[in-house]
Order: sequence, then C-alpha cells, then structure tokens
Amino acid sequence: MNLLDVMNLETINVNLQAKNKDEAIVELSKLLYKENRISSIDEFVQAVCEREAIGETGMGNHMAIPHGQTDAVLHASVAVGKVNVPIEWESLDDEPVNLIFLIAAPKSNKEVSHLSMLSQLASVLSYEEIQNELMGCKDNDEFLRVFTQYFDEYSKNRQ
Amino acid sequence: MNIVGITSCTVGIAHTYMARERLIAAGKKLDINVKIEAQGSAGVEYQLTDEEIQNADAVLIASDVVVAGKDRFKGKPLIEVPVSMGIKSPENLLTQIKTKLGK
Repeated sequence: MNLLDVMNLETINVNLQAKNKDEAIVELSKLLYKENRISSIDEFVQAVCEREAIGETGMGNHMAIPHGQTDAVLHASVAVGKVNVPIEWESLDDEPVNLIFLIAAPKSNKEVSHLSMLSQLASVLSYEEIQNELMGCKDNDEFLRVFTQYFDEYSKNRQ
Repeated sequence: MNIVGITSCTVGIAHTYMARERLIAAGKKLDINVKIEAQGSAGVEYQLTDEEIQNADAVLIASDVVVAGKDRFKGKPLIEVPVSMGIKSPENLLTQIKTKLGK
C-alpha cells in the first residue's frame, strides 16, 4: 500500500486559483470528483463545512487540513492545493494559509486500511521541515515526488 | 521519565495524528519517553500496553471528545488538555508536566 492509493497527480494543484476558503474547498473537491473519488461535490463540501464549523483546521505554519467523512466519499483520498496569495483560514496560529490538504474519508468499515493511510498522511504533515519543503514545490510532479519520498520514509520507520 | 497518553478529536482524521506525532517528537527532544495511543476514525492505533501504562509517571489525554479506556490509568497523575494543545505547543506541555511532577 502506498501514497498513490489515496492521491495522484490529478488531485494536486500547486496553482490553485481560489481567493478564499470556500472556493478552495470547492476547487479541490472538484478534483476529487473528476477522479471518481467522491460521488457528489455538494454532499462532500457540506460535510467539510460542517467540520469547519466545529473548530479550526489550520494547523499553523500556513497549512490547513480540512476534512470530511461522508458516504459521498467512494475512496479514501486527499487533494492538495497551493495558493500564491495566502487565504484567510481559522488556524491554530491565527495566520492565513497557502497549503491545503483536503482529506476525504469514507464511512465504510471496509476502508479501514485506507483510513489508516490518511492517518499516516496527517502524521507526516506534522513536521515543519516537510511542510516547508512541500510549500516550495514549483509544479505538481515535484510535489508528488517530494511528498511520496517523505511518506515512504515515514511508513518505513513507523513506530 | 515516561509519559503515556491518548490523542483523539472530533472526526479523527487529522488532529489526532498530528498531535500524536508532535508529542512524540517533542518527547525525543526533551528526553522524555512518550507513548501515545491514537483513537481516530481508523479505530485504536498504537494501543498502549499494560506494561507501558504501568511504567508511566503520568498520563496525558489530548482530546476534544470522550476517550475510551480511561479506567486503565487509575492511580496515575492525569493531565487532560484540548487536542490542539498537542499540536500547538507539545514541548511546553511536556515541560509543564515534568515540572509539576518534580522530575
């Protein structure tokens, strides 16, 4: 099992056009829909927004990890977006964000191994040096390559 | 010094695991042995062993929801904080616990 089970080149956009949080969530959700990973953009976006209403998903250092868990998620997935102009986001350090990981989690119990993949993904993203390097990636290919490398390394040394 | 703990959050997708990872990393830096059980959407991961709990000087629960199996920690000093604190200031949190326990 590897990172490509939950994301691919098509679910990354390092030149996201979104000007605010809602636009970013919708733009990234569309990538997941196109890749057949969610069955409904509306339903998924609603789940993400409900989660947003509970508390901040901006983790600090200009990175946010919004997420939704709903039946509209067909496969555990993540879409990644980067904006050049930081957008307002409720964050633990009260700073706007540039880097957004939108996580789609299914409700089905059959997907437990994939849910565990998503949990590893969140673990990898807790390291600032990794966040910073991802922030500097110039294109989608580079992003996927760098992220895969860190992810594999983490999985190998997982304790 | 040994600390065991649990991280958990509302949906159990992101905060639970970020807090866990940061607390462990902070422990390494401060020379505190930190073991954390994650109670997330994938169920219980990295479950604490009886031995780890027995050897613990303190128990740290960083969570926004009710965690399972709190009775395992009977008789141990217990610190409860919001999960966000584990993400935001893990080193501070561990240092405070250490000072409180006089270790």
